[in-house]
Amino acid sequence: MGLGRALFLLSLVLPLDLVPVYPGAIHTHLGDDLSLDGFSFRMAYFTTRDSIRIVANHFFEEWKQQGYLTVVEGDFEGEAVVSAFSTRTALQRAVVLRLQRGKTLGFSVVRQLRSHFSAAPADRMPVLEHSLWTSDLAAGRASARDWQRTTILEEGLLKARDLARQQLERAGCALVRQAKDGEGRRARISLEHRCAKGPVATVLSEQEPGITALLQTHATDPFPAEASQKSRAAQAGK
Amino acid sequence: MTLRFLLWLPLLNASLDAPSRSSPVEAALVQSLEDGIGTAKLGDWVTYEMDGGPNRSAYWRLAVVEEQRDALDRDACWLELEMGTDGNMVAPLFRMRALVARDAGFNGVGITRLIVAYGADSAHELAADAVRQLMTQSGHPPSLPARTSPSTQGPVIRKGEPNRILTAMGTIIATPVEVIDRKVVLKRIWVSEEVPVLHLAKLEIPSIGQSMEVHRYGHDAKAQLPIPARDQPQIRAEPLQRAANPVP
Repeated sequence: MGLGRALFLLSLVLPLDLVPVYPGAIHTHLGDDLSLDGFSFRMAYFTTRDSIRIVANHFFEEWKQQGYLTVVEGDFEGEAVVSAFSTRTALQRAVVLRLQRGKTLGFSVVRQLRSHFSAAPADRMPVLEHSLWTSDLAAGRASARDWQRTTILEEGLLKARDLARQQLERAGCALVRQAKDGEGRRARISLEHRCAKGPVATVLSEQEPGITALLQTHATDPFPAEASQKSRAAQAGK
Repeated sequence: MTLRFLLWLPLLNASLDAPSRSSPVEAALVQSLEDGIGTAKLGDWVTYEMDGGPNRSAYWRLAVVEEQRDALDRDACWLELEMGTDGNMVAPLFRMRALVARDAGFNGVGITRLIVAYGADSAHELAADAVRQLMTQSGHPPSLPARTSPSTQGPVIRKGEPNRILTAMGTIIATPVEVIDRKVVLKRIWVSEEVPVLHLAKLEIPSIGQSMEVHRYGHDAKAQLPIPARDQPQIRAEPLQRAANPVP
């Protein structure tokens, strides 16, 4: 890997050609430049008739030969993961392999090992109270603004809904719609808020008594109201 | 805690202060560094392969990447030290950069600035007071008592004739220096002017079958570990007794 490429890795966007490629397989890229908890990554999937063991061995040998720290996990029958770490460029390349209807399904991933959360802290909601686990995913070049949050809360459905509503309303968002569907363990609550930067959609579902999953999407208006008004004012002034 | 303990123990336990957990060859490398790097030139670099027994092999790279005067106005150089599992050092596990006074060597007296990076972490500099604190706590280990005459008990040093030895870099002319105790060779060091930085071509500890040997060397080293910006957070040291106090 050349120095130019290594330096490039330090930028926010990872180049496509660093996604691990299995020879002879067609790779389908998933999403654009993604960000998970501030770590940029790219992902693709492929299928091949070669066994998991052969595919895993290909990547293990290739990366080992290149001098990377390489680890393998799995039973090599139903699943395997091969990872290579470049500490100098803070980069991890990995393939996750699974047996799927007699074929090997592989997910190729390249991710940065240093966080590059570019959004200003004010753009991010703090982690909710009683959160057991939280992960923020951003996608696209507007990754600083459009993002998704997945949270597991140690709360029942209604209490989790209240926490989510309170947080958004404290941030100045207005509840536009609330709906509940399903009953018992299938119960889901959907919330739609209107915030200064754009709409926020929240879906809550109780996974088991006292444990609720929250999926929240923060979108950004392509033309914020304020900017549109300024533009119109400028047009009118001409 | 000595400086060596801080630097080496988290990595390969190569400290001379922790002999039970150290690799003797790595400890010997530390000893060689502490003895001084006075003649190393800018751009000199060398990689050693450590054979510390089954599953205990590693590579260490030393490089002189920059020259400047230190805060005490001494002639000094930036020495980079990297440790990894592959000789090409694509993915070192540990990286360090130290500003070392040439005459004093890689020890508590010689080091005034220290930058470290573990794994894929970015580089962090030790705060000046942390370096000072560690420096004052660092001391030289007692030298191995050795006599040049074999007539009395105790280890003796025997210097041989220059010889050709085969290394990963090909044949190198080196002079063996042996530390012998009661006819047993404790340590054999092959010294060569050809090998930059430490002039150390090979080190053997025959009784336990461990060795350290030059893997690659050159004279075109470039700095790999950037010096963090001044506003970056620094690593601070805290006296052990204070840290151990219970929180009221």
